[in-house]
Amino acid sequence: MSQLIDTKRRRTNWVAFGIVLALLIVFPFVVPRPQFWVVSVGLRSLWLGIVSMSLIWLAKTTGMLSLGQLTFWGVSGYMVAALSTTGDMHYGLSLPLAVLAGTAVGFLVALICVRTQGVYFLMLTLAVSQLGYFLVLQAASLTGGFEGIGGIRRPELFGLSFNDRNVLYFVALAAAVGCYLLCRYIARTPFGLALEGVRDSPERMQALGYNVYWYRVAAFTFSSFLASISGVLALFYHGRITPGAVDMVRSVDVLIVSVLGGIGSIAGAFLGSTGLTILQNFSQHPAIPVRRLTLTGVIFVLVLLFFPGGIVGLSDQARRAWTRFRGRGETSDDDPEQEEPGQEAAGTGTAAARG
Amino acid sequence: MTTRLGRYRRGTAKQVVAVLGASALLLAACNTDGDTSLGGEIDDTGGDTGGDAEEPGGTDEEPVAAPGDGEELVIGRISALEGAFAASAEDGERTVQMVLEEFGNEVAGRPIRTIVESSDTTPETAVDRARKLVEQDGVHIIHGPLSGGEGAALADYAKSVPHVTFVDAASGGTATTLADPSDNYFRWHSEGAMWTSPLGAYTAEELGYTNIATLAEDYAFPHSQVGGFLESYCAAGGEVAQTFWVPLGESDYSSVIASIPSDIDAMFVSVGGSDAVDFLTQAEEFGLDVPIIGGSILVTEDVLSSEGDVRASSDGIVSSGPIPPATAEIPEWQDFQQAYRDANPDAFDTPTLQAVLYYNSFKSLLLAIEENDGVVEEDDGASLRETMSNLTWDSPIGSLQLNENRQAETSIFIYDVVDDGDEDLGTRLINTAEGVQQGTENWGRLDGCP
Repeated sequence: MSQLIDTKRRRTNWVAFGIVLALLIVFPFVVPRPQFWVVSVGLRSLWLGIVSMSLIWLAKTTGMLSLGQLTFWGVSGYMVAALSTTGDMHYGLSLPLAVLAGTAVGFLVALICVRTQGVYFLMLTLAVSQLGYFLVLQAASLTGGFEGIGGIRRPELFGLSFNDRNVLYFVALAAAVGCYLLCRYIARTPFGLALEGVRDSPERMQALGYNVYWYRVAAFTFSSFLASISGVLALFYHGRITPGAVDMVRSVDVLIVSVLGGIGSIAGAFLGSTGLTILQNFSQHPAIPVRRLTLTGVIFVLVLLFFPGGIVGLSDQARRAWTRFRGRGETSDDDPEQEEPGQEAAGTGTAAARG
Repeated sequence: MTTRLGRYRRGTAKQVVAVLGASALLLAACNTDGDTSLGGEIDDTGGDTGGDAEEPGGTDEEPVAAPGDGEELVIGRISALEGAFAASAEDGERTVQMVLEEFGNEVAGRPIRTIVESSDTTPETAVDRARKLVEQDGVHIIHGPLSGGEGAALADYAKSVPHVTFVDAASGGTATTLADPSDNYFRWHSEGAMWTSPLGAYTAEELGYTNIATLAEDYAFPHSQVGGFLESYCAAGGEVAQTFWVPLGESDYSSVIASIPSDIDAMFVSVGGSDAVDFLTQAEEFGLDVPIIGGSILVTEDVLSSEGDVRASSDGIVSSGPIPPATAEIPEWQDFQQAYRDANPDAFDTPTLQAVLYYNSFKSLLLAIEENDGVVEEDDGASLRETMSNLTWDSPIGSLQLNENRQAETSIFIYDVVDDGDEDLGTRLINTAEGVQQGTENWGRLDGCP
């Protein structure tokens, strides 16, 4: 019975995925002011979504929340810029090299960081990202210092120039879809299942003979691979890379996007990135009295406090609030995955406070 | 963190609902654009003309306006209202408002509407804001930015949107108008290196300091400041013991102050905004006991009247910049300060450096538009830029006109900080260097005499 429901649900999911993909494909051709919407909103949401997806995937699958994703993002971006703009390397060589470099740095960072847990891991990855920031700021001969490396010449592949916004958009879309599908696929492989075991009970996994440490390292490396891909796309979006792209504010932006979209959902990354991009572009409206940064912070706190599931969890939350309101405390039985009692109480408390 | 996540693992369908809702809002009536160029930066060494720097044409759906028929003029403004220079940027808003009031909120019969986007001193944000203004709001004029690094990035971006006219608000990086300057980027104030160049010679010759160290923020504007200073200082025989560079936004100067060599005569410090306040309070706390030669934004009004305890370390600092000290006896300058105080009784006693530059640049822009009879959009700004290149007028700090790089060359004022017993410190004019010209060096980060 549950297997039948599972198949039906899975089919619905794929249909939904198809619809969304179709919408995203026609988006550049139907939207007004495409030079703005495709580039400043569409492209930005896509690469920001990919790097946030790396954070969410890591947090969701292994329970490790990393604030250091932009380090690897920056490594790959700077490497492409240094090799193909300052240097003269062909993009066909520099792009894979850069992604490889970002992943390699991720591997090295993982070797040290995954020995820690929880808030210590968070702080360590934040420190790594700050290390990366100061490194690119100081190594002016390699990275151009504060000004960074500008004047990026976008490549041409199979006769399609990345200077054409539609080409770049579809490349980014393909990358985003590819990364998303890869994440979904991994979740169903033995590797992915082992990661969930490591997340839920590392001692038990260790007892079963799994090398927990190397599984974590592998997971972290994969997430740094995703971040590196995003770094390359972002480089072509900006047309330059500077330390300002990897500073603390941007690292926190990635976290905000993840929480906004829904830290439990990989697809939520893209909803969050679209939401933040639109917010950052339109928050100067005269009706809004606070600065953009303040507004972002306020929204972040509000989402954390009242909408912990993010955008993705909104309908679930609304449904649950409605059920509570109707049932006056009766718990709903159709939700197969129950929260822990403590969290359930906290959730009820919040809902009651609101309602 | 763990089990709560599990609940959201399913439910892609719900995600779709969210996305569909958002898409419904986004998908409006079709108006496809023929030109799909990203308008990227031009790379000169590539020599490739395909696909570079095309106009994002066809994005304008603004109706064509005949001159002076009252069609609203939209001016985009980018100001660093977030970050280390927020206080100065806010002061800049006040002086821009003064200009708007002088003009009655209209120019050449066209009512003015400004859209203010805030940046945060990083180049990417400034370009993102500019993109939004140009492509979403369809502006043909951008006034901004404040900070040096932003200016260089915007000047670069300007090349890809030749129909937009950029008027620099207060940024002082040398490269912006020296390294392959854009035809549509105008700067009505002198730049960082010009501001300190007379000070370098003054330090070596008049003050007699021959061995100094420098401390500055690590981005374009302070690079120019240190470059301009050291060029004339070293030419006059001075020597440099060591150069220190800190990131913009650095709030902890303890390690720097501790590493300063003990045998130097003085220290040249070019930091600004909140960094300046932090440095000056910590200089006192950590016992920095050499005289300080200030960069142009070290001891400006926003710093001297800040909440920190800057009094002890600021007293006696010699600095230079494009605006006269508050007490300088220049009639137009005194009138301007009085007008500023009348309009903003709760603000500073005298406008900050950035605010004065904002005033001059914005007024130059409006004067040029007025002289051009309000023609902005029809010819993609060509006549406006022509008019602006030839414009000259008398500003509160002196006569303004542009050189061939669309860069102004003005007098530089050397002043020092005096404690005249008032609640806030004051400044006193020492020397005026007339007609300081734009240099030829695009200063990077120096580690000694150039």
